[in-house]
Amino acid sequence: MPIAARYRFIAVTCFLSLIIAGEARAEKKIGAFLFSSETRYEVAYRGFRDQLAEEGFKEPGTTFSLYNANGNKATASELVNKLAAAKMDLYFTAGTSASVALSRAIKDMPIVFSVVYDPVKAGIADSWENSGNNTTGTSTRVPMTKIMEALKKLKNVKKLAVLYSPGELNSEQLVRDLKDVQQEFGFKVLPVPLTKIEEFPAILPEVMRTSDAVYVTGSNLVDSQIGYIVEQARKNRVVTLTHLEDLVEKGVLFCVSIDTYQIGRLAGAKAARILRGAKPSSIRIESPPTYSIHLNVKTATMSQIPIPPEFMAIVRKKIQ
Amino acid sequence: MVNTENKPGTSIRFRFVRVIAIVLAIGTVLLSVIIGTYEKKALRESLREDGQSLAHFIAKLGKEALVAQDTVILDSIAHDAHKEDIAYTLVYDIQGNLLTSQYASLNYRSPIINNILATLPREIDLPEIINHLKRKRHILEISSPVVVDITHVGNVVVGMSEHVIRRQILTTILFIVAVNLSVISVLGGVLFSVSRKILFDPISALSESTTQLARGDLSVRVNIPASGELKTLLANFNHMVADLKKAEDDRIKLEEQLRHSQKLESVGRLAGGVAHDFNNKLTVILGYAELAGRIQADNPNLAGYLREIARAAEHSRDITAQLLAFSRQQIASPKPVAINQIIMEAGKSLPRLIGEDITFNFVPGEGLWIVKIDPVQLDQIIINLAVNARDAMPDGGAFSITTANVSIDRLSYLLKNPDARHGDYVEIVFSDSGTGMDQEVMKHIFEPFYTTKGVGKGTGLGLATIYGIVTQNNGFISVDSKPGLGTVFRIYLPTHSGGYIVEVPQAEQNQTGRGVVLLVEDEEMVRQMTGHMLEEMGYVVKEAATPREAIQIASNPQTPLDVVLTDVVMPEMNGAQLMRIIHGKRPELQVLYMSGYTSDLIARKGIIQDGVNFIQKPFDMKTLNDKLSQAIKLQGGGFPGSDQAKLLK
Repeated sequence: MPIAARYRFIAVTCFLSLIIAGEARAEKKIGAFLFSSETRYEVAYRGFRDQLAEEGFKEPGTTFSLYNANGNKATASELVNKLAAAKMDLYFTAGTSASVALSRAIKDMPIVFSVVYDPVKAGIADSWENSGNNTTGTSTRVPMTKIMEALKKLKNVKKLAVLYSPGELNSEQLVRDLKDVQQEFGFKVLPVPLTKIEEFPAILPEVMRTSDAVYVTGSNLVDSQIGYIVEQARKNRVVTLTHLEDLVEKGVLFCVSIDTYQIGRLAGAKAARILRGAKPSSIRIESPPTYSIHLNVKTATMSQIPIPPEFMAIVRKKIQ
Repeated sequence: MVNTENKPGTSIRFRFVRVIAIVLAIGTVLLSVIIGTYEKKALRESLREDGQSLAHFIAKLGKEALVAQDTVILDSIAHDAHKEDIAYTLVYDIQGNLLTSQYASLNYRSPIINNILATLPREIDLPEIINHLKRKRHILEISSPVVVDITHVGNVVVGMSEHVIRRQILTTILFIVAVNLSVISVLGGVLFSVSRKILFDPISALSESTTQLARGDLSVRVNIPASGELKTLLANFNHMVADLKKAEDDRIKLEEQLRHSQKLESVGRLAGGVAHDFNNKLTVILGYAELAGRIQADNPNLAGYLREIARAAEHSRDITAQLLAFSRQQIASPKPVAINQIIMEAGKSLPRLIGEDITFNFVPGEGLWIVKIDPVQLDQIIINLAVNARDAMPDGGAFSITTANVSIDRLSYLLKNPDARHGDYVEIVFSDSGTGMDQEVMKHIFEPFYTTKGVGKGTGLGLATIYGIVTQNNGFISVDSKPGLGTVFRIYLPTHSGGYIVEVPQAEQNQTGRGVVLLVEDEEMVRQMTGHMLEEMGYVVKEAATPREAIQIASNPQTPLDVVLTDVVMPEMNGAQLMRIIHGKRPELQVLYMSGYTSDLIARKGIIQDGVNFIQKPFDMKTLNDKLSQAIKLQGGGFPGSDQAKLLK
């Protein structure tokens, strides 16, 4: 190699190294916003950070600021304003409520959302392929047909009640998705709108009495009453199902879900691309491609619900 | 039977409270019904308006979702509209398809929904539930069209639950009842408190007092403040009880006096019975003593003894006479007299009787009415009371007699004096300034043998005699006296409507007589002694031991007879009956009755009837001769049987 060429190579290498090192060393500020301390949000956030760390975005070069509204809307609104004023390099959100709120407040900085069931129906993005704005992220959405196929293996259901919270877009969309497949799977969806805690004791006994299975959506209100829901279901030997794995750990019979940690990691990967200069709108919104079925054995035992072998065969995780 | 106790629940207090409670309860019910009816109407109207507003609001809010057929949004709208008074909210499209789901449409917080669902099978769908609700429950259903621009795209139906109305009405009624109860409590308390003071307490006190009164307690009085009519009632009650007490006291007093009178009456009857036999014996003693005195006049010792016998017998006769007088069986010959004249005559000898240290004063009443009484009895009264006055004034004093006309017509006076009667009386008042008497002494003064004088100073018959004489003459007597303040006796004698006779004293007659006397006497000793007396005086005597024997003698027309001297009380028949038989045969024959005591045979209550000749046993020869002579004179102005007497003699 001629000397000039050698120096030129060294110089270029050094320059590239400097660029890469400088890129890695450049201080990045990331603000994370969680609506509440739901396990899935925290797990997703953990996956997000792990992925970023693997891609070189870790402290001290990158600073993370975590904001948790603890389920309080007023606090959430306050934190949103605070985050907007903080001028972060990138924002991370977990949960539909947090994502919607932040995406409405911040339009000039990238937002990577996660644990959002349907960002398009929630109004965060224009489409799954191109958000058309400063957002991109990952979804918890499991194709409803996957969930219903699992349910069919467990029990022949005629009436499927859906516990949801009107106003929570994520929750409402799930009802629509269920309605879309009801004819295909031969059951009738019975939406159960719940907006206040006191409605649970008023309506749940009747829901449990008249339904074959109850779908638990991931609204904050429903989450707060999960213990009571599980208790009523066990008492009435009603099958409960969801797409959220953490609710199975709290007593729901089974779920067909995406690993929340993977959702977080996928969001982290998208964030790394953005930090490296990609436009959020150019990054496709997606869910991790793998689904898993979790079964709460304790609930199955207490509810005396027989679990057919073909269902057991597809269960990935048993929670005792 | 006197009802002295109130049964529980019958007191006027309890009934007052009960009536008030019933009236207020009825008032409360009526008020509740009226207000409840009006409120129900108003609430229904209000509910309808609310329903209409809500249906209109849902129609407006949900029209885009309806057009988009977004049932999730429609469910949210329907669910969010639920309030307590809403049973269900339904959204239909224009074809009539129900777009809202069961759990969104039904208001599970409404009690009626849960109640009705619990009774229905789990398979039942929403339209059937709605129909069931409308059939079974009070549902007010309101419908509102959903219009987009001018196109009618569907309907909103809101089912309003009337149970809220019922609960509201119930609340209102409870409020009314609570308010009424409060008002009742306060007003009732005040009313009861006021009523108790002005009404119940006086009535209770009156009731208790009447109970005590019914039990015989006349000392009861109602001393409780009252006003108005109750004050008058209580005052009248107290006044009435006071009158009752006074009447009761008077009754007790009258009973006491009646017992006293009855006691005197029984003592009198006993005295009368004793006097009959006693006087027969005294007649014999006195008669023979007198006859013996005539024979042994020359023997001074014997004559003295005989006089003593006669004196003792006379004294005994006087005692008997007083006993008879007290028992109103003294033989009296009343005649119309002028009281003042007799008192004046008697007054002449009174100073000697009562002593010089006692001043006597007589105040005669003017125009005094005539009284029919035996003057001898009047003398007895005057002398006895004068002696009593004297004994009551050992250190001197004043004794006065006043007379007056009085008319007794006041009930109070009659009540105080059980012996008093309506009518006109001559009142003779004997007053002294002596030692007086206490109540205990006054109770007994008219009892025979009752005396406060020392032993040997009085017989105890003086006032008893006066009492007998006065009552025998249809009068009455009252006494006022207090220890140390003297005594006043008031004697009331009924007036006589006729005039009075001034008697001319008869010339002294010899104790000799002529004529044939048929002597009828069942007591042999009396008959023999009387026969001796008559013969001693010169009469021819035909003795008969029985009335039958007398009739036999008188039946013989050949037997000369001038007069019949007959006992009154005899076996077989009495003197009057005997004389009716004898007069049947010899009507001209005169009769002289003799008796130791009176009887209704010849006298009524001891008063000899006019035209009846009578001689009181025991008698002396002079009196017998006087009476016989008068009787024989009445027969024919002379001694018609004198010839026969001579013959018989």
